[in-house]
Amino acid sequence: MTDAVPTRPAGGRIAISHATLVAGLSALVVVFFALSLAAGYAPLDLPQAASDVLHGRATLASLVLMELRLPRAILGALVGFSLGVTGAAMQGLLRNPLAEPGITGVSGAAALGAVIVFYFGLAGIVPIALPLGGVAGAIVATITLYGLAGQGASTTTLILAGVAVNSFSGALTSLALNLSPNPYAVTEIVFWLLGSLADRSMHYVWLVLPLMLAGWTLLVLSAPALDGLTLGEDTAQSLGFNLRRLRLMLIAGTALSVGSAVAVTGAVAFIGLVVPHLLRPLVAHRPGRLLLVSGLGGAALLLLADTLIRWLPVRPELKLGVVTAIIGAPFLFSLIYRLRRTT
Amino acid sequence: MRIEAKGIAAGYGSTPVLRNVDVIADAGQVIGLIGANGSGKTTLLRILANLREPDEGAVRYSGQTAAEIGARALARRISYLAQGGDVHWPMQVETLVALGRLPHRDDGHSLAHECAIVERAMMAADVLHLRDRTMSQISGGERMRILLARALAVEGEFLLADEPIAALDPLHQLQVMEMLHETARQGRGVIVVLHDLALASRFCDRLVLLAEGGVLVQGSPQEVLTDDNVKRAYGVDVVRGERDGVPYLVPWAPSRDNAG
Repeated sequence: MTDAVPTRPAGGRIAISHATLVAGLSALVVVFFALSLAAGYAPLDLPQAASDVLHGRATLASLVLMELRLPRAILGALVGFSLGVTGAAMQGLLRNPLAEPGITGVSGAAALGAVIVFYFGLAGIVPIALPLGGVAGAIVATITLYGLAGQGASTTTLILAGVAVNSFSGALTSLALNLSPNPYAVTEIVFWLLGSLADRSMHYVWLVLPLMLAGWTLLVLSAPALDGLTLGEDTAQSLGFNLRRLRLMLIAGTALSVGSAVAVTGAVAFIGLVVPHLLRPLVAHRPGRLLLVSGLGGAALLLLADTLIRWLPVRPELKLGVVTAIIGAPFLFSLIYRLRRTT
Repeated sequence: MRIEAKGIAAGYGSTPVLRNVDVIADAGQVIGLIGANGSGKTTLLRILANLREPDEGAVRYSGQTAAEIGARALARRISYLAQGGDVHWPMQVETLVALGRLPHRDDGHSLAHECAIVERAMMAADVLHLRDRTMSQISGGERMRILLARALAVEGEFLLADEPIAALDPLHQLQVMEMLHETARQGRGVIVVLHDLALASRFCDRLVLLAEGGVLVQGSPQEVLTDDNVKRAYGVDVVRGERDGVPYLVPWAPSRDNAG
């Protein structure tokens, strides 16, 4: 792919080429993917398990690898990529480093959509209803958010819009819990809401993969327009970009990626905030270039976090969403503190 | 290229701002859009740049409508410098200027060719020495020149600029006006929204004075900036002088009689 914005090879402040960065992050994803496969409670001889799978031997090792470890690692990569690329896209569209699926309420609304599907037992009838419920919740939240804080609104408006969307979807989620017919359903929903990759089968992978791929494609295709938006909406339009189409692409892409991610893992916070922020200086602050890189970074970070919680000697296992929130929140504090000084 | 707007009417909600506006802009000239606050200068400029549709009337670019030309092709021919100069990410100066090449991203030119154009634009706006700085490390005057370089990097046939000197000190105002003048001398068209009547009269070949919901008068600065017209449009009296054979005027006091 040729670059849309011509820059001299040596023009970057930090001397790292885009191809090197993409290759490095991809390698990191592969390494953490392998670590994730190796992590677990039952000791597993990975090479032996892989060989069993290849030779079609239905041993316990091959079963653990194919039914437990592999779907968990694949979902970790998919969900991490989705959250990373969406965070970067939302920040580019809203031109705000605090825009992120969690803070803006998109994840919360996606969770509500999935809870509604749980509540009415639709997932048991039509499996695709679960991710579609998440996508529907995310679409409503993204459109609401853009309506409230779209046209270059201040950070304050954006955050308040996020608080409003989060509170409302939180209230409706609580209502579903409140009206839940039995305590087991409540427990199930609450544990699911905490965010986890544990015990998800390959079935979930096939369920969300097409939705996510469609979402990523829409987001990554908007890269040049996001670069143009750096100078505001009028300038982006004068550079030949159709802003209405861009918004539709980003709203649909965000909803498909986040909606399906949240539907299978629950809410995993802050990946979309932390990853783009850390990687932005490495792509010369270009929102378009940040997309793919943030996706890879998100996948790497999520795989790492999910591996670490299995290494930690804490039982019951910590939920992934709990860990990312505990690590991510102080990061948000420091980001707000720095933004306060610059604005 | 010629930009020709005919019978333009536009407003916001139920508030009309412009009606029955005819404007013709030819390449090789600096055309100033002047008028009091709220007279519709930015609205007209955005319509001329095809950033918003007029409620009535049409804009043609050398006889063709924007729809006939296509958004991307028009973006290669018209560059737009927005008011205020928002830059949302602390990019490096050179990267920012290179954003002006976005409409040309599928033209198939070599990287060297594209970089040479970016460099030329930075040279024309006198910001080449700032190329490695980031936008968070530059002053207001430098910032506007960098944004001007970004607009020049489009290499459009027309440059439309909305109040490019509003926030600048006198030296930087003069520098930017000289750059716009030079751009027109090289054969491009320049349409610029201005508030400073002295600079407008000195650097523009033609002026379009907006007042009372439309074009009050248009023509050469001498024809447009008469005492009467300035009084009607702005409600001020001016004092005049001459330097090196060039007439100038300075707003002096609110008009006593605003009967106009």
